[in-house]
Amino acid sequence: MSLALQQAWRTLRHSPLAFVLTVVLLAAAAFVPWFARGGFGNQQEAAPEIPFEFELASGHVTARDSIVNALRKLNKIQDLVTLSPGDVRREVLAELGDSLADILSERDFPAIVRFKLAARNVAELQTFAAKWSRAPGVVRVVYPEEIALNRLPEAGASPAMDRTKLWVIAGTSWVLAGLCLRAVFLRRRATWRLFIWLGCSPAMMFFVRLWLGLFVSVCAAVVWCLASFAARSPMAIEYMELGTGLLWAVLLGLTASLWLVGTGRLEAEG
Amino acid sequence: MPPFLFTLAPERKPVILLEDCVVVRGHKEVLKSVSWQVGAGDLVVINGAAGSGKSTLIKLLAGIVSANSGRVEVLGKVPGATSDTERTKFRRELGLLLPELDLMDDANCLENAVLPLRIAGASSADWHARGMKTLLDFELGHLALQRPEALSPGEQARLRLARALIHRPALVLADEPFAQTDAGSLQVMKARLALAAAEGTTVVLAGAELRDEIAGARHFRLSEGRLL
Repeated sequence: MSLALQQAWRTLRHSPLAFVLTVVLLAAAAFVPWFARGGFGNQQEAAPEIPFEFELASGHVTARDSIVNALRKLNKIQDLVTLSPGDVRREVLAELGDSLADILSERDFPAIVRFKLAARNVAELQTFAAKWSRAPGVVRVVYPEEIALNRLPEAGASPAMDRTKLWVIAGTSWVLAGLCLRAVFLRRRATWRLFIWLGCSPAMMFFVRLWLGLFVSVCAAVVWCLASFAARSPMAIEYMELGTGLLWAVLLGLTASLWLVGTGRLEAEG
Repeated sequence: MPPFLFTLAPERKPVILLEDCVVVRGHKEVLKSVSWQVGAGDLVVINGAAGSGKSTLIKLLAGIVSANSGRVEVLGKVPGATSDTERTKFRRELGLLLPELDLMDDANCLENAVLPLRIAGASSADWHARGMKTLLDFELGHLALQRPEALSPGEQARLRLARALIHRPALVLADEPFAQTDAGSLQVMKARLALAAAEGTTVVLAGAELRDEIAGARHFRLSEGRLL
């Protein structure tokens, strides 16, 4: 096992440029699911902040607190504030004039939870609104529906690029990464022939290929992380938490190693 | 039954047994009806001009090329017709010294010499100890941590032979083992080969001009695919 590990590492060191290219291509392929969700370089358009207000039933202090706590746990919520009926009345009077002060009392106004929602698409927005309108203590959910519908894409649609194109790019990157890795492997064909003729088992050659795949996978995952941090978007952080991108990079790297030449082919070349 | 060029005594089991072997490459018969027996501990030298079929014969014995017709048995096995596991096991019983099997330029001399041991799964302590002992035997101990590129052609040839012998193979197959070798290296290599044969290893050497005396060696000549 240590010999396989050592040889995998030496193989990558033997062709540093092709190694770097493989890693970059794998990282690029691993970014595609993120692109497809409307990320990277298109954050503002993909996740506009929609102002929301929940009008609360009077006297539901406990419900208000639980709603606020639940909303705070969602990372797509920003600028969360709670307004008492008095605060709402003051806001209204500030806008319409104090002449109405005698007419409007605090009882005419509900308590409000106000925040901005970073929604990625219409379906997400509508699901969110529908879910919270049924929540205990919430009388009404208010948001600029028409404006939001104009600004947000349909569910599943990528605002940045056509999804099919993205997957074609991902597939191409993966294939090119596989071919690069194959080139890296074949640059040491004399060594592999030596190994095979000295009695290296197919299992050991399999481990060499596995280690190669793992090395480039881990490197691609690191590049993926660095690029995500560089983008500094909430979506990137969410992805980091889920580890989806990392797993994706590792999966792509391991499957890219399937492009490597097998023992039989190397023997036949001899 | 074709006539054997050399027949072993009945009590000796052949390590190499060729019966009427023909190898065709392209349209040319490289080996023509070769019948041959070599026993355990024999040291045989095959001389022949370039293109006479020496390398093909060595590769036939190593299982790297297959015979088009005839019977081939090496170490009791048919080299080219075994399963992956048997082929791996068979190769680990060989000590190969072929021009195609160069030294690894990104490994030091010790790592190069011990490669067959590591491939066979020897422990680190074992291959370190046996590797250093072997390098000392071949007067390469002081170069253990050097890369092959720092060695002279003679030292590189000694290192290749050290790699071929380190795991005490049952059969050593060497094609042009003394090419570009200085007199000092030649003496060391001949002595180690003779010692290996004395310890029971069968040694087959092939080369263009291997006329120098090696203790206990039997000489054959390969001419236009025929072993004489």
